[in-house]
Amino acid sequence: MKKKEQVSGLQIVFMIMLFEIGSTPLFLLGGKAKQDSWLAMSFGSAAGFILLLLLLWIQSRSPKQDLMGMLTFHFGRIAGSLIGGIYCLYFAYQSMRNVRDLGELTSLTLLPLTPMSLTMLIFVLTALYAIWKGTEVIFRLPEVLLPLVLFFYFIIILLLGIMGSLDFTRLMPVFESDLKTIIKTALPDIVSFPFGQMIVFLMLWTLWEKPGVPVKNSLAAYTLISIFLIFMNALNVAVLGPAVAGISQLPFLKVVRTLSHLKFIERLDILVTIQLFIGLLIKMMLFYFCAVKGLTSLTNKPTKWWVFPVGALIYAASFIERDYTQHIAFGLGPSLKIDPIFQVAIPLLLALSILIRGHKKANSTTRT
Amino acid sequence: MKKKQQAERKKESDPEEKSIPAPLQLNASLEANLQEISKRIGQSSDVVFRRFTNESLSSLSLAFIYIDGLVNSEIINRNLLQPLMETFTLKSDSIATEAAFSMIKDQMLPVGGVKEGQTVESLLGLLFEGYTLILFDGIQRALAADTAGWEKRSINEPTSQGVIRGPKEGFTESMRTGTSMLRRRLKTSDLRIEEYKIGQRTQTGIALVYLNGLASESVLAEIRRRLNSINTDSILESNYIEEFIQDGGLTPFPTMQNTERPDAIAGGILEGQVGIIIDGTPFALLAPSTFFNFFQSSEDYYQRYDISSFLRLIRYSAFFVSMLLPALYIAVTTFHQEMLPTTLLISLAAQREGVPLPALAEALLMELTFDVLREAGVRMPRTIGPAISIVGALVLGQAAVQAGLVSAAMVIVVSFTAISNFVIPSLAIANSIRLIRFAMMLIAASLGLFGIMSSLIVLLIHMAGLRSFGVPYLSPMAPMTPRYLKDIFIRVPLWDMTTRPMTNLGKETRRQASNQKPKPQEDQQQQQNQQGGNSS
Repeated sequence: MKKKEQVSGLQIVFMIMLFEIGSTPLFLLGGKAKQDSWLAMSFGSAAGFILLLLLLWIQSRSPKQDLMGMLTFHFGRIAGSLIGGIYCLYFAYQSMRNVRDLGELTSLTLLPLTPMSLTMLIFVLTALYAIWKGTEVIFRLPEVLLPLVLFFYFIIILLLGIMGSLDFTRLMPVFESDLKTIIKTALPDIVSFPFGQMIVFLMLWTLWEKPGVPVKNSLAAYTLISIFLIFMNALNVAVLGPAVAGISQLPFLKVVRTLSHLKFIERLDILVTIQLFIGLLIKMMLFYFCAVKGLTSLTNKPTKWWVFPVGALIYAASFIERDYTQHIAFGLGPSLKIDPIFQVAIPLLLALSILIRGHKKANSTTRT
Repeated sequence: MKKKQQAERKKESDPEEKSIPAPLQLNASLEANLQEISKRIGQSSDVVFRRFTNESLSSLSLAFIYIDGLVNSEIINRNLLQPLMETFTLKSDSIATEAAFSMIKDQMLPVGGVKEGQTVESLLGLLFEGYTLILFDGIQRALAADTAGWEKRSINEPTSQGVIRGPKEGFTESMRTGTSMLRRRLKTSDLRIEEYKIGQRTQTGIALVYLNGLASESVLAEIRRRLNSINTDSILESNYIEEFIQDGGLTPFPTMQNTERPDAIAGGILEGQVGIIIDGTPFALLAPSTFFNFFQSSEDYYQRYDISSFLRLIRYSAFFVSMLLPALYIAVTTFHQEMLPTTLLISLAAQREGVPLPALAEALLMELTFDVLREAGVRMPRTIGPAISIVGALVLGQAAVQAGLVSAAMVIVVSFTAISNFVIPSLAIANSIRLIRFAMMLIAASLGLFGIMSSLIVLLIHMAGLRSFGVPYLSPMAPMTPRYLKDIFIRVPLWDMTTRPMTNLGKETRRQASNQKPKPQEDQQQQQNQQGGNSS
């Protein structure tokens, strides 16, 4: 009786773009490469592109199965479910990182006196409400929010241009750091965040309303958003210079704070905060949703059964780290080491399994 | 099984619920019929019974019943009484009752609508609609002639939705006038008008108006189903219908439009919506409606597209101002003072220095005051209108600031909020944000900008999940159909609106030929030549 939940190609495009934007432009990724950070970013996105092709290939081999289905299909019922469960935990962990990010940033910029537990609770509850409403609602959100976010970025870039804060000579000399450093900063760090996180779409591509895999949509969205992210990265450096951009916690906030002219436009922090809020929310919501969806398909329970436990888990987990320093340290340390396992290693295993099975099948068909 | 039990229990507990008795057949005796009818009606003074016999119809006994005030007495005198009472042409004295009945029905009633009735209930129903009943002795049927005619308000300019340019006539309380106004605008055989009678006691006429082939079948079926399932004793205004059939009981947002303007209804119908005209009120309904419908005014199409687009944007910003401005003021003054430019901050702080209340209390006080003023303005007799404006403007505004009760900035915020609220063309959605505004203020006072953002996102999620008769509330924005965005935030020129801008409702989406941009003749010829060259 219940209609199958479906999303349109456009919705997938918007979701990929907003998901990839997330909170990325606020940080300077690849800061180690100084003014060449945008090159590192480009390498990262190129590597991510290859990874995306791999993911799309895997998906196209079994267009009706999501990640959980594939895992149980290829690695057997028990091992597959186990890996699937670990994946769900991984998604929940990623979600929790965003919750904590938001909690920390809110107390840093907006509400220094309000306890973080409250802001994080509201944040989790907001996402929970959307997931409770269902897939269709979740995928409608980017259609409203992405134009809004892009519009704000556009305003900021425009103002930066008009007020002459942009100085692209700060990006000179290009290739000051050697290729090795650049690639080293790009791999695996930038690939893991944000480009490798495309792994979540292995859970979502099956929702497409048409049969098959939205290859073109995904690739177009990915390419567009990579260009945007590389540009934003270059912009951070062009405004602040590599030294300042490299050491600040939120370089983009600093960038926007340079915009105080005419005694009228001052402290556009609010725009940044809105962008941050929306970006983090969508990212966190999608990870949360994938965790719920994964558990749903592993346990054959209705989706709504899992929404609250996973939400509670994410909320509880966001308190594990003692403070922001530990949160960042963990995020940049062990977390980055784990990511490649989920984003690259297991998809590669899957691909291998598909190849072997395909080979066997081909053999068996030739024999008979 | 369980449901059945519940229904039974409900029946037991609810003494009012009686099963409707089977309709009573007319008796052969005129006397008995008259007694039955007068028993049912009671001693109402406006019901007129008139008995007479006509010699030329073999002394057949007849009786007229009508309700004074619901009928046009001139029609009765001229078209009913005169032909039936005059002793004339009929020479044969021995005409049978049966034959007399059919002769009267077919030859002697110069009235447009003549109906035949066999049961007391159906006849009474017709009687209350202004029909005159003609009862015969010795026959189990009766006639009802349409003699309706009562005092009506004439067509006036709509008072709730004015325009500068555009038609100035509005619906009246009569449903029939309403449908005729639509007929005059849509001269096509595709225009369908379905009538319903809803309300056991009021028997209010409801007309469902739509264009066949444009309105979506599923939406129509849904509206019909919901209309048919209304079980109430009275429908006095279109809001009764609206509340009974609209989606989403727990939402502050309206999912149906209401309007007094026939051109707005015609426009909606042309975009595949379904109009619902209700007898007894000049406010008709349009469904399904998306969020963006409430920001479209019919005047958008009566003036140039550039100014219309500009006004659209103004309306959307007014929506956000009206919803958020007091909340933002509270949030910024209590939590995020650093966000204000220094000079502004200093002047605000100086103003607030003597104010005894915290920003939230100040804002709540002023907003509530404004709502009181507004309500007073609507309810009070017209003649004491000026008093309100003096009290409102001078006493509550200027004097309150001078007395140091509220800051001048707060008065500005509240008045701008109020004015913005009136910019939104639909009162339905303007009212819904009046309530949201208070919630926003409370949230802003406790969680600042973070709270405002969260609640906006929650509102967005809520709206994304909302549907109006199966149509997503935020379409064509979410789910997005880029083709239909031409009439949402801006209005493109009419010649460019080749498809119906509303939603993916009806089947037929193309509304006019493409390539209709007016051009000088030479250009057109050139283009045609080019096209000819291409095709050959």
